[in-house]
Amino acid sequence: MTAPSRRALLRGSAALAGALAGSALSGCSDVRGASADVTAARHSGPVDGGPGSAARAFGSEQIPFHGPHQAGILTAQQAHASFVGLDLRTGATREDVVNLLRMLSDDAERLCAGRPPLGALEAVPANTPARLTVTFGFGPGLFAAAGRPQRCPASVRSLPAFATDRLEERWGQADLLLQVCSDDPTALAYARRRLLRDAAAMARLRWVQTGFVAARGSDTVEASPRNLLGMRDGSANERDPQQRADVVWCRDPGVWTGGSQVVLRRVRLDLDRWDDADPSTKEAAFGRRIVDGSPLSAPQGTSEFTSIDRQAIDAQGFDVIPVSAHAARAQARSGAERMIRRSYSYDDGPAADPASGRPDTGLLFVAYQADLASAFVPVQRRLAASDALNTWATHVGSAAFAVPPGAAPGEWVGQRVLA
Amino acid sequence: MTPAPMPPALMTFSRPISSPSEPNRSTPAQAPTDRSVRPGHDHRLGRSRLLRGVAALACTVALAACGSAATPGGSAGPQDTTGAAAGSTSAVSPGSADAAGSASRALVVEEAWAVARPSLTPMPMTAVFATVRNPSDREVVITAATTDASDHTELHTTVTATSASTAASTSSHADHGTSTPADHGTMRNVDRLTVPAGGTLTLRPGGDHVMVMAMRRPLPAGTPVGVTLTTADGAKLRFTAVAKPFTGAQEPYHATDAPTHGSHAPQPSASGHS
Repeated sequence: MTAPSRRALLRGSAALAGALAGSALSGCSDVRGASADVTAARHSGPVDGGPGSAARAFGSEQIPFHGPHQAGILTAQQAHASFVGLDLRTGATREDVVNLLRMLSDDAERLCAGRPPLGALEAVPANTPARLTVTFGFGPGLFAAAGRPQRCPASVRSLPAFATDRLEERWGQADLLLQVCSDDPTALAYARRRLLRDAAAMARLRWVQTGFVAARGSDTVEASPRNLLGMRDGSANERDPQQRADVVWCRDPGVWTGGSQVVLRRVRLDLDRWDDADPSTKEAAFGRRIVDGSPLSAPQGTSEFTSIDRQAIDAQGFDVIPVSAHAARAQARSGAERMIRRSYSYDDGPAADPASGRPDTGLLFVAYQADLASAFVPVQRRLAASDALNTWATHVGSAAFAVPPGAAPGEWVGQRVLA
Repeated sequence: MTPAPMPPALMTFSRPISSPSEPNRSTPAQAPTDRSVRPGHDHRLGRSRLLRGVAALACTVALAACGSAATPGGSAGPQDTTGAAAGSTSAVSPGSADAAGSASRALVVEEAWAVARPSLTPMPMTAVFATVRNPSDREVVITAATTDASDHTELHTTVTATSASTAASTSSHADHGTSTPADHGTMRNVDRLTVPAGGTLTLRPGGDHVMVMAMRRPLPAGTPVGVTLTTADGAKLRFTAVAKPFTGAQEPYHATDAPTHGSHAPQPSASGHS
């Protein structure tokens, strides 16, 4: 088997890089995640036994924590994610913020490497990270508590309101985001619990938003995951590594080099009403075909990755894609409007909404970009003005975070941006 | 990308000072001689252990060995920055002093942490834990510990009911083997802790540990505390432990726990080091 030796090699070189050069490991996490997925897919085939009878166990697979960029952004999307919003305790000092970030960075580094955090009495629960990543995002409150309010990018500080927002305070802006992702929900739960345990002295929980995409191995790895609407989601993401990097990493020189910005929108979906819609209505609303995600402007059977042609007309001269179709409205009008979408479905249960006793289920829209003001904001303005999906989708939560560059070995996440 | 300078609190993990005379003293090849039983350590994964060894090499603590640096023939180089203790004399008999000194310098401290103590009341005490690895072929005896957060520190072992009869005669030992924090017993002040040749001393809740008393400052979670271990030959092993919230091990590392025995009195007990 070649996978362990590749892992071994990578882990060895990571250690070597830290030891000898003290330099940042070049970001290879997405490549690794992707290749691991491909390996798993190749090993799967006809399954006649129970779970795991055919596929190789992937629990020990690791994504390097250190690097010029944080992991969990261009990393091949893990099956499970939990977004944790934390607020610093009243009166938190800069020292508190530094202690918190130093401790959580150390915890995350260890957990992602399959090792228990300091102070844990046993290692076994940490030994199967299954591509665990912990990604840190800073809200305006964290910069303020750290005594560096001006360091918070303006785009993060002043996310505008949108006409269709129905925001609930309980899903609002937090001081610190921890995006915890793994292919194994057990590993994720352990990591999240240990991180929160250590954070408790300095921060209080604002919200937890937990999501999922298809279980690893359930769907073809080349395709974007299906959301609860049954539609492939994220088809417009750039696939070329250089293009992906151009989209997400901050361009301005200085402490934000290698950093990013993320927006998390909780989009509640009225799935019962969506169920009642005719498939052709759904496809017209989305602008893509249900079966393969291909745009309505391209012949059936083409890929979801075919570009949308908003100008396409049929033989009668009508628009092939309705002007209000979601995919058409959301399509980037310029290079600066591009985002890398990394969304997860959520389903908090059939009676989860305390106000109505109705289901709380939908999409945790997650998008990384170099600058929110030039990407998410104009796109969302367009969607708020007109989007056929607004019939079923309601934005009830919103939070934006500045994403520091990755930590070098010996550094804590955000050390340079808070210096 | 240019990494920023490491903060003092993370100096715990830095490149070890290497001695030209011992280029391979902590190579992964010595990992199989590690006799320690570490929680959760997976002995089946030989490759993974080996790699962890490589990682450890990259992240070990720099240990200054000032004591024997002053010893004629000592091999400590100009990296020795702890001259304050250079005058300490080694109690090791002539002939073995050099070997013992280099063994002390070879010690590697990893995974160091302390129990967070956000408030000094009602009990201004905490404990430090770490893994102390001895890749040399000589045992190393730790005789004292100090921290920059306290005025009084002791070396402690934890005596379980079953081991109590033997502990009196073997107050220093590398590992409790099967003891776990659940087997909480009586903590006892000892005058030495031994790191066996090629072995590991695991300082952990429910086992051997550095007991920190008469703290001068609180240790909120995430704050670093500087720790110095002194070996029998006078070498000083300095490292930084980070304070972590900890509520395990039913022993009075916590202010809320009632003391179960008398050895945490602010005075050294009769068996304390001098």
